[in-house]
Amino acid sequence: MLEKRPLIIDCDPGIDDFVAILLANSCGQFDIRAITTLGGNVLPQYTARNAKNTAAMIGLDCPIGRGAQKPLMHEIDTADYIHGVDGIGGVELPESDRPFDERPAWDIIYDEACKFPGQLEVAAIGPLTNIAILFRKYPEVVRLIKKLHIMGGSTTTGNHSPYGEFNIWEDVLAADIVFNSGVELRMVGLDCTRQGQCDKQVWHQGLQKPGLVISKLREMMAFDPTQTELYRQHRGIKPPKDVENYVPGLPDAVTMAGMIDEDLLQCQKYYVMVETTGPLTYGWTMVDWNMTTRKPFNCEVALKVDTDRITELYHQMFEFYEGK
Amino acid sequence: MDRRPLIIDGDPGHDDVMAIMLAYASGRFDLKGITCVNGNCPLPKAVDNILKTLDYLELDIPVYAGAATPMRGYNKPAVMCHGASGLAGPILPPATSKVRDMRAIEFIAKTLRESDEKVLLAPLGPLTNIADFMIAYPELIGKIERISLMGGGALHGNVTPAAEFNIWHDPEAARIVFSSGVPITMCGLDVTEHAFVDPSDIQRFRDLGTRAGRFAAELMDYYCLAFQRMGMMENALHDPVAIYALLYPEKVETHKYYVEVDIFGEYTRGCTVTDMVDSVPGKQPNVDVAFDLDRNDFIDKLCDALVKLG
Repeated sequence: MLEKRPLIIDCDPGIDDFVAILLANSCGQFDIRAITTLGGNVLPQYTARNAKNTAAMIGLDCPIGRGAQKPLMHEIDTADYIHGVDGIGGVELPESDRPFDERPAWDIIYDEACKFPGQLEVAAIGPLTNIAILFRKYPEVVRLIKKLHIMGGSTTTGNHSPYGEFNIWEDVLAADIVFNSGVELRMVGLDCTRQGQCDKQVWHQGLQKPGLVISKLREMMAFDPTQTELYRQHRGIKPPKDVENYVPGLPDAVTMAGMIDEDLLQCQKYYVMVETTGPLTYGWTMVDWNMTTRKPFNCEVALKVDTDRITELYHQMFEFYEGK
Repeated sequence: MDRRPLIIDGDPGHDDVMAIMLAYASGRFDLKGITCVNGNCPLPKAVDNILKTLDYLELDIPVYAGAATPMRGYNKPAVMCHGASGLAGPILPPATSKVRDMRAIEFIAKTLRESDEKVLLAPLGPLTNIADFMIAYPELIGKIERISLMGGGALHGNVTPAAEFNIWHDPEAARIVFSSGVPITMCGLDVTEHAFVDPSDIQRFRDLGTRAGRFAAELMDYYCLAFQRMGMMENALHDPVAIYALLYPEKVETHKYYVEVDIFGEYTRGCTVTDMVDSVPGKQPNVDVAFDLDRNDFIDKLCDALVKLG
């Protein structure tokens, strides 16, 4: 019986990826084996740098790996209009000179899965390109991975398009490969994560605590993407963010929270398919609610968040990083 | 003349085997290895077929196992053409040599990395292994000299009206390969349908008096019968054309066009959409599409190979 749960976080930091990493580190349950990155929210060189600097800042000593530079079949399409060009709203983290791991992300994950057969958990909170390449190169790894938790998709509305949540939309072929891979899978979609906001008072009190880490989070929260030209091009003119009352939706953090506290998410197994070709519905994670396809369940779909539990997790997170 | 490094990827497959014989016997390639892919038949059968064939012909070429499923996981063996074993017809003794441990894409990566010069790839089956290689080793794509593939069709398909089998079997893989920027010679149905064998050719193989010639004749007997059963008179020998195009490019009529693989169309999924009328804006021709060849010379060169192999 391992003392700590071996974990790999595959991500594209990303403001909510940043919080997910903070949570994973502070909860004390995980042996974080590596953080692997890919392009997605922003270009891959930024996501890699953000992951490296975040890890160094919170004292996390694991390998940082780089993965896919672009989605499997086409050029990258970023969400820089949400996260800023550099992925963390222009916030400067202390620059770490630690080198990146030489191995590509998929080789790192495979190596760790072999070291911890049947035990390794993976949190994939960006597009699924790295995971798809992992499964194509090492098909047998699906048996070695205990569970893959993804932040992706939605059972209702999307964000990047009417039904398309960004991570799935960004690489639909990768998503299709993952959902059909046979891996033990939990999908935490937008419809679920939207319910997972921290209590406003707890959030704002936490943000005011002293310490470098929290100060950086505070700066990220102050970043208002809606007033940038990038955002205006995508979404038009919107009123500015009400920073004082703002509590972020943090999909990646909710996914991580669901890994930390097994009772936090209410889940149900279904067959889920990814639309990869319809021009209007591209990226939609369609849940076969009524079992009309008669295909076996391939996924545990997260449906509801216990807001008290997640507020408690954030509260503990702020306490952990106070003064750090 | 220096032998050019080559890796053949296939799903043997009657015509894959003929292609391998042509490549080996030409003496003009440094045939580094054969990677197997799921396609005409399931992967284990493809591997077994190629091992048995190489043992029988006493050819020492390493064999590597690749993808067992297409990128999106559907599995459609071409039993009608090739039989359930994938190589129905001749009865071969069981294989004694073994498939190598290394994964196909790792072998391709190792070969490219260690080669001083760029390497030729001749995919004769679905493009799954090539695409898996490209996504896992994007930094090595530039070391591919050229891909001469059997697949596609500029104007028609076979499995469906729009799609030829190899592309149809894994359109996403084909899309990744065709958009990779690597120089590609597409030997699709447009040219391969000119490369047919008829009964007199099969007799000629047999009359060569070599073991390889008899083997080829037995393969072709089954292959042609299979097509007749399907009511098709064409007995096109598709895969060797991809090798022939590498050996004698001056003898194959090609035109460079912009080709994109369709993965979206309701009826046209798997089509190699070929812009022969310069109608797609902003796209440069990216594929040398083969349309015709000298069939007599093609058969002659096959006979030369079957004699050389003994």
